[in-house]
Amino acid sequence: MKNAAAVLGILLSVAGGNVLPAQERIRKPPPFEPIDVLRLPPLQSHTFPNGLKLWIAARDPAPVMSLHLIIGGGECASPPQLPGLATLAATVLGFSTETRRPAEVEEAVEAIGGALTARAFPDVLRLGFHFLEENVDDALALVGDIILRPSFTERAFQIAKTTVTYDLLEKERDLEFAAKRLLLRQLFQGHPYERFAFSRDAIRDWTLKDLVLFIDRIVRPNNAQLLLVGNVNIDTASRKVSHVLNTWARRDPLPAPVPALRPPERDRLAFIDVPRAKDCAIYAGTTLPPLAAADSAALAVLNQIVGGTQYSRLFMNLRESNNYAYYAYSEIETYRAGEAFLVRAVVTTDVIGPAVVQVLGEVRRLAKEPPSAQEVEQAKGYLIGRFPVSIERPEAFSGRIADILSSNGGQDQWSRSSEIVIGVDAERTFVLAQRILAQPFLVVIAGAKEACQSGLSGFDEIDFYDDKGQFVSRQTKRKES
Amino acid sequence: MRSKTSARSKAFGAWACIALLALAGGTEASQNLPGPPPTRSKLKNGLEVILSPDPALPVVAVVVAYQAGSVQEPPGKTGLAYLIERLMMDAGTEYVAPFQHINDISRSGGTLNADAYEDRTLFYQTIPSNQLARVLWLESERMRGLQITEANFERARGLLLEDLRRRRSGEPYLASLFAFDQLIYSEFAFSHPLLGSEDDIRDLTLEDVKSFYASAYTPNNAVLAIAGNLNRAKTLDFAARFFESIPRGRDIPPSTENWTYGRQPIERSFEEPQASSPALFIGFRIGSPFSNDFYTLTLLDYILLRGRSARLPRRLLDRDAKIAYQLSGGIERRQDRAVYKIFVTASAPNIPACRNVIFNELEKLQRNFVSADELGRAKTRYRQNLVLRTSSAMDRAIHLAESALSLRPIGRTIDDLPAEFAKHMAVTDKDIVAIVNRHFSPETRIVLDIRRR
Repeated sequence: MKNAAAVLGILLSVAGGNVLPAQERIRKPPPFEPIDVLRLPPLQSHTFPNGLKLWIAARDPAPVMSLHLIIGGGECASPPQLPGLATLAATVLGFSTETRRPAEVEEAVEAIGGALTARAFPDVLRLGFHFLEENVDDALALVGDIILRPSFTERAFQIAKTTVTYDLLEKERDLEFAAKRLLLRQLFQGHPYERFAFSRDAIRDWTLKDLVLFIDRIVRPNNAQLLLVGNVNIDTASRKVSHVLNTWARRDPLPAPVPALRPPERDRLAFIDVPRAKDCAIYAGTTLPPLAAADSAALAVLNQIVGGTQYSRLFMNLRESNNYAYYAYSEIETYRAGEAFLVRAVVTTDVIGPAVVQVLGEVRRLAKEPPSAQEVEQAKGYLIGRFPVSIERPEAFSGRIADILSSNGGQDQWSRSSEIVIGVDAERTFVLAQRILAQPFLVVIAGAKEACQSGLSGFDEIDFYDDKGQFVSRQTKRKES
Repeated sequence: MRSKTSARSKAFGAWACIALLALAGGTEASQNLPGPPPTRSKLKNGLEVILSPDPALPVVAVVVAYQAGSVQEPPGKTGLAYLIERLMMDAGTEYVAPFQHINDISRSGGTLNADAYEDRTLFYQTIPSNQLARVLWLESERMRGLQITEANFERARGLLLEDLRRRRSGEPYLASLFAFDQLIYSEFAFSHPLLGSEDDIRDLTLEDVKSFYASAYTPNNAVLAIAGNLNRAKTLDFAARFFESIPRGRDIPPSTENWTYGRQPIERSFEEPQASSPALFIGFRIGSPFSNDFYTLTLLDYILLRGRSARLPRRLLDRDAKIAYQLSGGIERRQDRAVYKIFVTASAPNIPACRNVIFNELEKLQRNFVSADELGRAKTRYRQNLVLRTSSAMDRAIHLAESALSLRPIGRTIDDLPAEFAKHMAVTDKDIVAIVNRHFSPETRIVLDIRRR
């Protein structure tokens, strides 16, 4: 599973000798040994006559298998007037079938040692199933039942609506959720992804008929990919999948592809008033069209330098140097239509103004000054070391592949990701930073307006929203002539 | 503020659902464990070293588990185990700077954490495999000579008090959980909270902390488990080189005494200032966790509580007729004491119904055999849980370290794990009826009725 040829010089460094006899205390840390850069076997695939694409990833020898059914058209395929419908579909999918009542589905899942989850993303609807490998036939049979013979009763529909409502209610208590939802709404304004950031108001418009139509429109074999991860080969898997899903009939048309994301047109600042909030959450971001694999790797390095960990610039600035923030990080979200570069921080109310200035200043700094070679090498070292650690658990291993397939990522993003990171240098990182981090950014703050008012006085224009995310007013600073 | 410690089971929600003899890897399971079977050896100072190679990914997990927890704290000195867990993460040694351990691992892409429990404390990390020697050295340093100074002790004490205040004000039912532990365990060593009390923590001295550290965090009171992409001979060499010169500590005699307790039901009520809704704690004393009953109890736990198709979730959390808001519980073990706890929250009118459902299910289990299907499903879930608990290097290392510590008092080792698994698989419907009659009768139940203030 690994390529012993590629050895990381950057991780060879440091530290003194270690040849003391056993009974003496070693005073210095032992040196690192060379690390083998991870190269994973490529994914194998097979496309059935009905258009269903099967992917296989070997992961041995843990006796657990994972199955992900990835259906194209997640929240982006929800009708524009019914945002959130994909989330409802994910909640109700697998609840019951024509041949199994809800309790029987639960029993069937547990009888094979499984755990079944379904979730809507902007691009896809995903069904995930982890089970003991000896039960692969039963697991496929259950998935076949869920897909070919679903049952959507009024009762199940009402329960799913209640579940989505309470789930949102719970999330809305979190300042960061409120800030991120408004940010995504603004970043994706006019784009189908905007429906992903739906609010509770949307729920009352959903009907069972809408739900059934939506599921019927997207759950089609020629719009789906099935990923199996475990100790299985492509021939056996193809035979087993075909046995269960060969009657799944191909149908057209499919949901239309989504247009590429574009950067925001100008910098904007929005504020969500949450009257009793003790702290403030800041979410800032920008969007860009899809990147080639090498640029994706450079973006990962760039993100690492700006805010990937607590040793990155944002955390060191906002928390360690200025003591403004509890934490401050950056992250990348990858979609079929492009990337979103996001920054998140939670800060104390009294420093909200300077904290926003520092967030934007720190992001823009990398667009103006090239990173040092050492900083880039440290970021690469972290990413290369982190990758195998992050896919260690079976569900994380298969989840990472499912993420890549969900965003139409290529084979290389899975099997050669560490090698591609090695090829990133300071120049490439800086060129990308100049392109992305100099773009307009949208900033959303969630906090108590009254407590933050004085800290916000330095900003030219602020749009205010209530705690439900509804626009309230625009405050514009009068420019002195 | 940078401490990464997060006590997994420090208080409420801390169901240590680990029955001693449920710590199995198992005959079937061990055949399916990644890589060659684990091996164990002992250094001259008594440190048990367990290796579990698995070359699948270039990562390795290192766990050091100490048989040290709140049960060893004397009256008036509560909070010591939790405080030392924090110091072990943050404080340095003569050759390791403060926070260096955390920094070295985090910067290389690794992850680390620590968990303190009532009867054990674990320190663990997963790292790229080229970092193994360094991490073993770092672990040996904090076992050998943690630098506990007035400054870092005061800092840790402040953080502990802050954490305690935060949890007391932010976690509903924490106070009632503490009250329930007083009822069910009764003796101080087992009933006082791992978090400690504010008064005790304020009164702790530097000498108290140093003395507790010196007595319990020693090689002969610990297990070192390493799993992942490793070379056995080389790793053993590292372990010997870094750990063997650490002096052996005093031997702590294993405690396997029989727990004698009364057989009268106890029923109390408690006004919970933080409660968002009324709740019930229901508990049963199981006695010593070193008996054959534990194989059966583990399976009973799956039948009663674990998974959506288990009996209590099915009846209390059914989507169509939901009676309760939340339900949790399971087997809890504190050294040589074991109890079974059930916790349920519901609206005030539904609390009696919850109570009836729970007792009704137990009565049914006293009188009727469970079906072959239900028992089979419980065994599958149990096996799946074991597989998942050993499916990553970190999980496997934790599993092996905890198993070794738990089996030690009864003279068993991880070599016995396959046999332990087989015993679970051999549990019958008759065993279930017998254990429910023995330990879950109305005479032994302890109930705390939690009301909103």
